[in-house]
Amino acid sequence: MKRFFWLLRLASLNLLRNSKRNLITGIALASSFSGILLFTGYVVWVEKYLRANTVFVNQSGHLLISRPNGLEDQLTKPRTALLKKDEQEKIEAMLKGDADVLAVGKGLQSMMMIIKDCRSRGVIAIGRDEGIDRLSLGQPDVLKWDYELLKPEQIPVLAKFRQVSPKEAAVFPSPILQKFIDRKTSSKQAGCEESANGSLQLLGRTTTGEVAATDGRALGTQSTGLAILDERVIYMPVKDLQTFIETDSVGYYTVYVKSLLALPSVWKRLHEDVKASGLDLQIQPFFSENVGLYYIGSVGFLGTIAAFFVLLVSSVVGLSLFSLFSMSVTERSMEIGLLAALGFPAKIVIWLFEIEAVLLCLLSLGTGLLVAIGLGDLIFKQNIRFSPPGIAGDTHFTIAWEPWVMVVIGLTFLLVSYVSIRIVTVLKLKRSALSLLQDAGTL
Amino acid sequence: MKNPMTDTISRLAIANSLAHWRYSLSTILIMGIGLLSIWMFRGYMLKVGDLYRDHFTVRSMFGEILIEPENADNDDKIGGITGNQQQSLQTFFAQDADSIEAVVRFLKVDGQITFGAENSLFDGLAYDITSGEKIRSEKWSWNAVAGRPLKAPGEIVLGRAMARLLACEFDSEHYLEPSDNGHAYIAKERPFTCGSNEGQVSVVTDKGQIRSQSMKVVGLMDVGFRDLDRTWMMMDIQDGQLLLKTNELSWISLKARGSSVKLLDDVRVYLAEHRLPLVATPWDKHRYTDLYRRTMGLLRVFEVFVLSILSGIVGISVFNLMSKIVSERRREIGLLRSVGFNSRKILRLFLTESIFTSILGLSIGAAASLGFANVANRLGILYKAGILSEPVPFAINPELSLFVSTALILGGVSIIASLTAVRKALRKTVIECLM
Repeated sequence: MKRFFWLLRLASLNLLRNSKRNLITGIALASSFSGILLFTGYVVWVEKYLRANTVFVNQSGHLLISRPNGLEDQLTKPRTALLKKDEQEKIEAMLKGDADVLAVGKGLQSMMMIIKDCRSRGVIAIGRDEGIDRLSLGQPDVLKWDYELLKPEQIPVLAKFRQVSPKEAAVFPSPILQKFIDRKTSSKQAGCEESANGSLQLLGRTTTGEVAATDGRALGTQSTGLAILDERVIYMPVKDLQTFIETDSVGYYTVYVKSLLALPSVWKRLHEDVKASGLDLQIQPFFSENVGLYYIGSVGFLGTIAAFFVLLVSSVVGLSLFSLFSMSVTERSMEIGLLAALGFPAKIVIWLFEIEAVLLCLLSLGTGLLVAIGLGDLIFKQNIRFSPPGIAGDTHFTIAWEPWVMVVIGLTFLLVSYVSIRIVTVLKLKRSALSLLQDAGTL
Repeated sequence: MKNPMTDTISRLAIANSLAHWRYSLSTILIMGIGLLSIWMFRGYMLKVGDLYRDHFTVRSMFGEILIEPENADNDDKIGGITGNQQQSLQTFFAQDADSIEAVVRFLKVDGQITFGAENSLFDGLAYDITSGEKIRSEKWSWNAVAGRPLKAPGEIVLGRAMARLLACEFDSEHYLEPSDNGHAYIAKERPFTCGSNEGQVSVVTDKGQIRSQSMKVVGLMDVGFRDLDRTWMMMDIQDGQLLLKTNELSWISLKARGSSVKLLDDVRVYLAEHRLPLVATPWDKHRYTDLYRRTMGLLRVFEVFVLSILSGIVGISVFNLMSKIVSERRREIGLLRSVGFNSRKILRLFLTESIFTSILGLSIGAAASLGFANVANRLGILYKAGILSEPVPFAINPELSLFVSTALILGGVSIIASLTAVRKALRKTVIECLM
């Protein structure tokens, strides 16, 4: 230990002695590290945004329980795809008392036409669980990453609407569909009377295939957060949608876990319980293609770019470090020769250079980390609006930090530095002490 | 006439580069790998852009220019290019026939389709089948994953996700083959069944009238986006107009024979001269291609970011190396100055050395990049990209213009770094240099 501190002191002094070159090397390291952190920070933000969006805002839960293919089949084959009352009771019993489960929600989807005056439009109505809406408002992930999509004011509005108009269905269209509802009837549609503000008709089919029709009212907009879905999705409370298609069945159950770490065990337990109950059910996580297509697609796409970027930058940084360390070690050939002549074993000399390199790397990484965090904070405070692909409208440009990602990148840099200095010093120490002492320090 | 001094400096520079080959090798390697990294990253982004361009202009038949009513938005079920406006446009198309390769008329149609007990809402398009095939070119003329493309009125093709919902059965594998730009379909009729393959298509006209027609499903297609695919249907323009009881159109796509910029100008002039309440929009500025613009915008930010980081590292490394070279050759600089070389000539000498090593490094980097791109493109690695329904190949487009601009940036950074290092040494006096 004593020897280590002695080497550490010597390494620090050496770093100061070549302060100019080390500063430049440090700047190269720090800037590339902070660059990579900012880049991956953006990818991390997308992951967190889409995860909160998929799990809570679009109410797919961490786990989604349905009949096999039930998520899709509920739109065209509701009679066979929906979960009946007795099945619902069994599912609820399975989940009851699980300490890792935060909440359980119900979901239902149906295709319908919304008719405003004489204009109609086919949409997919997604039934939202009001309990999950209230729960989402208190979720740290939602509050932190998807807060712009939250509409807390809609909860009291819905409660009041239920008292005033118990027979009408409540509808929360996307902003794009709200434009369709708000549009005035054109002159060529003469004969179509303009309905009261927000009032519309819903036309679809019940689970038995009969025509379903009711009056509805748009109570406020709710974006899915995703551009392509906003074109064709309206939200409704699950109860209103059940009443509309005349059923007490639901399309699926959503399970919300307290911690992501508990997800595998909850998933496994649930799988075993379902198997034991004899129910024909499918349990899918939020990162499966059927449930979170946008989540896995976008994260996969950005992840590919980020991996490519990290690979390229690491190789350039590695080569630069190798070249800079080669120069630095070569310049100090005489010093290495002197240490060898004084009886220092090769191992100690290698350690000295390794400690120097690691120290320089750690200092640079620390600086790079501070710069990245500072810039990330500055970017957030500037409230920059931007429109990433796939997301509806624009959003607040944010950089998010994930400690394990930072540690992995930092360790990669450290490894690259360590390997570079190790190769250079080992090669140099293959020469004799005399030859090193005569070395003029040229390459 | 040759300048003997230039010759001398060039010879000296090459000799010096060879004499200090280890330094030169370091610079060459850094330049090479820098070029490889930046060129490949930009080449990858270019390929992503190519894939989107191919998807919208060719596969989705947008062509290069879209003509539609002013203030058209997504909520318009029935387009609004009236019969008179279409007649007027036909005159223009006839006049400018030499500069137009294809004209495709489109009408948005939505409603409900029923197959026995199964039914679903649909969103779709009616279009000119023959000119649509022309605009899709050879690569996408076959656009059916099962069955075959549309050939005649009375036929429909369904999005394959919608077909699955309607209990259609088909082989969801073995329909793709690699092509120049991603993948294309194998032009072969593959069997499928959708009940009796006869569906009842119902729509609501703008007068609130419900109209329906029995149509034959001849094929299944993939629109590219799964959520769109879930409700997608295509039919002939005559069927669409007949169902909706209209002669109007939602938009007209044009594919230019030569320059699309000139054609766009001509269309705009014609619309203005004839006071037609229509707008002509290039495909990449249209609202339907918002995803393309956003993706490319994001990728451009990434590109600038990567370029800044990597050229910064290359610049710092070259500066460090040059500083070392110059400080080691301080005496040589002093000697050259004492025999009459002025600062400008010495600067030229080092500049020539820097250019020499940079060119070598960039050449090696270019050869490595071409090899890397070739291997990456041949491997055909597939990955999920955003909201696209099919995986896309990881590919790189090593375009020459990207090489030139990247090489110029890196070469410039290297030369500036070298000059900065040399200028510092030249500030010293001859005696200081010789000592």
